Amino acid sequence: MHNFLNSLLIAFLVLFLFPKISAQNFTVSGTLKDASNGEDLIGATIFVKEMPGTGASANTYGFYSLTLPMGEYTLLFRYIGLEPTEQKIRLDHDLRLNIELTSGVGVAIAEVVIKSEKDNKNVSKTEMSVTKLDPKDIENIPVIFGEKDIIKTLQLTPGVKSAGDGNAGFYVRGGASDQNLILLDEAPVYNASHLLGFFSVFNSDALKDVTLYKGTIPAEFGGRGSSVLDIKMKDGNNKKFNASGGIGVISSRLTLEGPIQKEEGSFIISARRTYADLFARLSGKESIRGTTLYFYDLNAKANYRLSEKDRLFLSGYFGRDVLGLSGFGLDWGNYTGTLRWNHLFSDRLFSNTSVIVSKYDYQFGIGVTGFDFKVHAAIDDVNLKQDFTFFPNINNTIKFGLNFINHTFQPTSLDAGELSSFNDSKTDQRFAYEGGAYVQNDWKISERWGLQYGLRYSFFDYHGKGTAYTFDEDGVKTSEKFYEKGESIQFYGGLEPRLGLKFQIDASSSIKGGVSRNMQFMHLLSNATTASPTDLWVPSSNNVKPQIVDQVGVGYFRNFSDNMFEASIETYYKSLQNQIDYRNGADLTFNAEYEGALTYGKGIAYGAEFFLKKNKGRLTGWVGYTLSRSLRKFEAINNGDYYPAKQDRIHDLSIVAMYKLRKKLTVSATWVFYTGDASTFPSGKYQVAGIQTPYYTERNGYRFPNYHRLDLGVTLLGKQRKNFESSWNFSVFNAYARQNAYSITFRENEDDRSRTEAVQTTLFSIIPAVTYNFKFK
Amino acid sequence: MKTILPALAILVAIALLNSCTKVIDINLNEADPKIVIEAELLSGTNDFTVKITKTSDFFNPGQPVTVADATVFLNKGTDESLQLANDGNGIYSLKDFTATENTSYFLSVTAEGKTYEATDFLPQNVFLDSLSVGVPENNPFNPSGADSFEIVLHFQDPLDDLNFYRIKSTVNDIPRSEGEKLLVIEDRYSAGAYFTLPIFTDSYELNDSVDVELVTMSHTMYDYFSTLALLVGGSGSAAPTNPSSNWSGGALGYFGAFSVSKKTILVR
Repeated sequence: MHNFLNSLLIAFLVLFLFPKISAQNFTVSGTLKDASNGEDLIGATIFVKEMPGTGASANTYGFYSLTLPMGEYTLLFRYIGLEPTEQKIRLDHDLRLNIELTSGVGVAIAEVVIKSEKDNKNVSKTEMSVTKLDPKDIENIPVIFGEKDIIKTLQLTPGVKSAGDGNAGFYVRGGASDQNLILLDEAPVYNASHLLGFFSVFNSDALKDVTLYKGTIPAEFGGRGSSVLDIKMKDGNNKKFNASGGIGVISSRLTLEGPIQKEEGSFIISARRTYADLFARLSGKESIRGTTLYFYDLNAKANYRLSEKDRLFLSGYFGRDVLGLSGFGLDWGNYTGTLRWNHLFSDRLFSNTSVIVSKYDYQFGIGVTGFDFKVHAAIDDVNLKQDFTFFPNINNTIKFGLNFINHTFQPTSLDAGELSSFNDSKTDQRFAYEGGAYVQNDWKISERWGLQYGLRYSFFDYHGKGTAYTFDEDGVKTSEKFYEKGESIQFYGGLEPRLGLKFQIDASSSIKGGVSRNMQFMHLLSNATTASPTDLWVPSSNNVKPQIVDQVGVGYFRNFSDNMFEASIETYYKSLQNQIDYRNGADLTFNAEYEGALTYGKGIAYGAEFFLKKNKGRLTGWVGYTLSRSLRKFEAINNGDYYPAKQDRIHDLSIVAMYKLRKKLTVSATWVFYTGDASTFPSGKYQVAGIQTPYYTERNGYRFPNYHRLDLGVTLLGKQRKNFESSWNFSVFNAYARQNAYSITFRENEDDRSRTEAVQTTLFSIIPAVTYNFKFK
Repeated sequence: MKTILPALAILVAIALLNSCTKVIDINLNEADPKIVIEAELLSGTNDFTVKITKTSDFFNPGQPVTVADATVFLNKGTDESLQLANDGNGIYSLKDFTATENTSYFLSVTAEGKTYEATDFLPQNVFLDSLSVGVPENNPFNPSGADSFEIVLHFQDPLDDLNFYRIKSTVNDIPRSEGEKLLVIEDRYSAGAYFTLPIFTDSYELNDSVDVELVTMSHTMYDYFSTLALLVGGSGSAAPTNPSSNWSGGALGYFGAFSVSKKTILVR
């Protein structure tokens, strides 16, 4: 441990003092922006025409740095959807070059050359198993209630599976939904669902960039086993003020953005609220009139350039769901805040310092006399992050940094009303520190070989003040011990290597591989069948060990027809350790000793993902197919044999097609098909205590019926005026009204009480929706 | 705008109200029949009976299969074991047996060459003071019509120990035995409180004659009945399992020792 920290420190110093290898080398650096609104162009690429195969890409803040021998060069700046720009430079001193790319028909440059060279990012980059979404690109994809939703769209890509209708959770490569780290401007979002899971909390209008890492996760991220969903909010237009929004079937959105000081700083505020409850009030039934059911969310961000070398960002998210029936209320929400400071120590050393807060809480209450009580639970994080990017030369990009999080957990706690027959049950808060240090290098070895290697050290310290319990193998408490404030109850630490390798066969094809380990110190316990706001985040402790997920993956990437089509086949194998399940009859609510209700096992997941995408032409879209298994093994379940996890979907197929019928008219369709969820059904029955009781023999031994669904959409653009544009979006969810199973339950037949029948509930049949979008600029 | 709003309202109505249910066919594996032993020992002097049956096909159970040739012994601590008489039809009994509170009982069943054993503790009785009839207000568990009434139990919970209760009701001599009406509670959050407890899982009509039993039971039985309630209560679990039986050897069912306090009320 000490050795590791020492070597990290040395690496750090070396990087700072890195001598310029030769006096003949100079650096050109700067930021890349969109000329129309001043947004940073994340991942925009820069090529040196005189040195084919070399180049760099802009980081999260649009910053790039290239160190080259003295000479004259032609730099080519590119970003998808924008006009490439060429710039001749004479590099005989360090150069600062800020570039803005325009979307209009600009300077005619040798388009053909560029295309063949660089629309093949998916083939030429070393990273694999990464899915990127541009919120702009998903506008035409039909979605439920017409609400654009990045998480629902990600579920249409291979390896990412929906947790089902009415559920915003998702599974990545056979992992559970709590194994996804969801970051909004670096702040973890603990519950990404609205309206009991019908929608995700992410308002697409406020988002700029969405990246999902499902394979070798870069060493800068840690803390979850299966994936990282890295979401970046827009910075706001720093050229001029504009307002945009939409009116939809169940919600409306409004976004305001503009410069704080032209070119130097900007802000964006984006808000959304549903109004289903307003219609409920019109209902004739009193019970429905008394219902409240809405959510709102607010994204806000501001950034300001303090100097050529310093830039500040402040961003926040506030969202809340409120659900009330007569006598019963439930509300929950996330708050996140991120303050970031970009600083250039030199033109080759970029630094970002972040202070992040994140909170999730829920409460529910019942107001029946004699039974009134309120239940409350929360998780609260304060997070410090320091990240450096160092550009030593054109073939290496080194990232390193530190991270420290202070977690406070409030397990479910009960406040009884004055007249209640309940007593208060306050469960103590639990505390933990989580941290990490990492270093990683992206090394372009040659034109053909690329290597991305990194190492992360993560630790977790579960500490007092609090009481720790020990349990025997039947989950019965054997002892308890009190720990003082700050006193360590249990410490976990470990190294997580991350390795990716690329071999480029030719300009249009490559083979990539990756090996990685991820540790997860926090776990989501669920009281219900489906994801629910009352699910409980709990820390690793003396009883709950960190989950460890090891993954190997190999993929073949190939583009066709001048990069019009991109195709890939990826395979993976994962081993999961210290997985968590519940003992029979587990009771997790208000239970300070909930750890006694848990049991531990392991799992494996493996699969192959096939992907074919058409990027250009009037018809665009993709086909994704995943063949996979996800199995678990617990001593106490199914005699210790492997059994399918709930998310074990053997086949999963998505087809997405968008066709530009006319200049202003686009039609689209998506079709999904997947194997029904593994589920536990009875194999017999008997009567006990006068009740017909089902008899179960094995966990997840049965399947729901296969799921399939067709969605259709039409987008009609209105007249484009100088200051105003608008569009209509019509969609039909589940166009052929397939009755997909949301749940399957069993009940006595009403006519013959001795007979039992299976009853399937379908959540969404056919749902039409219309949305009107506008923009004043 | 005037025309858009009603149109939107209709769309919302379609969207939010179009969930539906239907009866479907599912092929379930036929499991080997498993033995089910149900035994209730009540405090005081009663006939003690044990019922031994087997599990049946889930969808088409037919007549229950009973186990005829079992030997059943009951004992308490160090006393001599008492053998139960075989009454046929899978029923075994001990006439006029006196069970005492604060005592552990041990039951052993040998059937088809296998022995199953269970113990339970007969707890101190907790007495019902009274029953009352109320009009339920805003009960989210039971949003019933205006003509229904609730019955409220009044009793003092003892402070010293954890107590576990099951509340049973019989309306006009017909037991309310549907799974979703199974009501078990514990006093973990209310130890020593004076309980004013509505039977919130059920509702009653005018002129119903209702017998209410407050059954005091052991932690073991609470675990059994609360897991049974999860299973048959209709709320659905992600990973349903058989209730936590106290039988060794893998038999289903339970051996429970209960103290019962009973009162009757007429709903008016």
